[in-house]
Amino acid sequence: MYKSIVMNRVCRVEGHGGIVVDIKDGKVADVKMNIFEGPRFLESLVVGKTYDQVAPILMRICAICSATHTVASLMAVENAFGIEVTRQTRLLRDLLVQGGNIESHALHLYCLVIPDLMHHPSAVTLAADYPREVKMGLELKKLGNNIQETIGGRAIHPVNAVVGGFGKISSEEQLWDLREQLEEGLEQSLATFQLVSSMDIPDLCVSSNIYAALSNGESGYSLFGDKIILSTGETNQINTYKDLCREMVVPHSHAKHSRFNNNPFMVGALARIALNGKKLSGQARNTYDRLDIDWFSGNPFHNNIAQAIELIYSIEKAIEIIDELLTMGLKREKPVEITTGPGAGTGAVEAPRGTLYHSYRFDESGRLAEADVITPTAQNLANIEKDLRVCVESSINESKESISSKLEMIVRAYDPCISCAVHLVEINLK
Amino acid sequence: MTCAFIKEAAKKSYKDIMVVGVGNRLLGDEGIGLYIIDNLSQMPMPTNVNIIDCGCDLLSLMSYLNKPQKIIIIDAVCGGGKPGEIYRFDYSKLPTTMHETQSGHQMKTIFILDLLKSVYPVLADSEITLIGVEPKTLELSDNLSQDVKERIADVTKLVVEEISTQSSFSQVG
Repeated sequence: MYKSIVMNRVCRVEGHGGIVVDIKDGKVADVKMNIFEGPRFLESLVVGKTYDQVAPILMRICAICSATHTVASLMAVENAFGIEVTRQTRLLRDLLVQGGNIESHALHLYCLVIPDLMHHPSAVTLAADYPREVKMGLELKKLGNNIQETIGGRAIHPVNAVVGGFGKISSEEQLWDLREQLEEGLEQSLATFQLVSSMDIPDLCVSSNIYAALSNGESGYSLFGDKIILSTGETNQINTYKDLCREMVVPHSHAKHSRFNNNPFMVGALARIALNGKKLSGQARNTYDRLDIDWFSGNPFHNNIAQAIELIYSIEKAIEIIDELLTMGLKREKPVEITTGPGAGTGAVEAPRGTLYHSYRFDESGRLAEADVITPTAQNLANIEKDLRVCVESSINESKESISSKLEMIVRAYDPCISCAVHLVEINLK
Repeated sequence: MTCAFIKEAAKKSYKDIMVVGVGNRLLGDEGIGLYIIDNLSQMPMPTNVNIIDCGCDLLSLMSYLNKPQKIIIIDAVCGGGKPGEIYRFDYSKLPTTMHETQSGHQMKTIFILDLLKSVYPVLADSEITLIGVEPKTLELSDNLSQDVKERIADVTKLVVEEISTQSSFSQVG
């Protein structure tokens, strides 16, 4: 007997992706996560550009993750030219990235995940029954946008963060205003955690996972770090990220797949909480401690609880950063001057969906000769396929509809951003 | 703005009006709503009119939903007509849509309005008009097609007429 399940469009994920499952004689013959969103060739677009033109172009890889793309890009350029930025710049960039994390997690949880867990086809029908909760989610998303707009100058595709420093900086009044919004947001994030952690978390595909995330050593939980740590116990410097992300072109996808020692691995909120959760502090740490979850069990649905914890973390961290900035006093600083020339550098930031790498090489004239961007979704695709296979194997006798519904939920748990992933394609015609 | 106009507006209890442009300037005619907003922003407007460029994020509308008002949304609409054809819809008269397929990147205008209406009751008391323009191309480009560009003046005129039902342009200035 031969059965094939073809899902041309996975609902409620960012971008266009589908799943194809082939079952032959009662066994899973093949499971593929197809990415058929068009390739975008953004890495080629920046070749030949000057250092200051790179971030404004590459941040366009994604709207929702534009803050992290911007910061990773700036860090790669600065790393290539050996530039150190000031404490104030580092804090403002961190705040910008936390804003992106808040926006993205709130949007994913309330518009894409909670409807699944509460058996609603969309956020609109969920809002009809739970208007207060959905409003809370939208307010949190707005908070994330407000942070990015205040610090970055625009809610999407920030303009204030520049190579070597910051352009226009916010006023202290604006920071006080943000702080007030964050205090309210903290209550909403705690309520979100209560909501998500009280739901039955599915276990459709539990299998061993390798996790990877950035680490900043013994400092607290962070979305930045100079090392990549793995659940296998290995540690890499970020400039050796290619050892982790062994990329390969697969025929069914416009996005490349990443493997570590030929094994799929997972990045994102779950990987961060599993590897760095003990570094959390404040109310985020309290919620983490209250849970009786084995983060290493390999259940991708724990990613959603990890996102709820990170919502609390990002809001607390944003308040902490604002307090430090207000204590220091905001100063107009001239961005560090750059002497261009040949160089190579890598920047890495924990984006909402996992570790994001930007790596560039500049030629003798200081123009960009080569760019490599590896997004979290591209890293997760092989792991998603692994989990889809595990799910199909355990539900092989169920109806197509039942299996399809489960597979869609698994993909959504990862919060994949397919639009981000597809710029990675390489087509070699011989 | 003259005092006389403000007094007259108060006397007539004009509703506040929000004119919202939605779209992406990098996808050809998808950006038409924003070009109209550019045009309107250059014109003197009565005090009860707020012109907003929402870009690709119509959800940011929630920042302005603090009172019932007239809302005019301008966007590209694939209605099957000729490129440049102009549509006008009353949101309240649109058939109910079952929303199933959504992503955070590609939320449709009607989905967002339905979502916001569910959680911001003030939106249910607002009068929402959608003005659409049939695109010729949604391919990567930072220009409008000639067919759509030629309709900018007509769309702007239609929006001004919509605004005029709730304010007095003759008193502006």
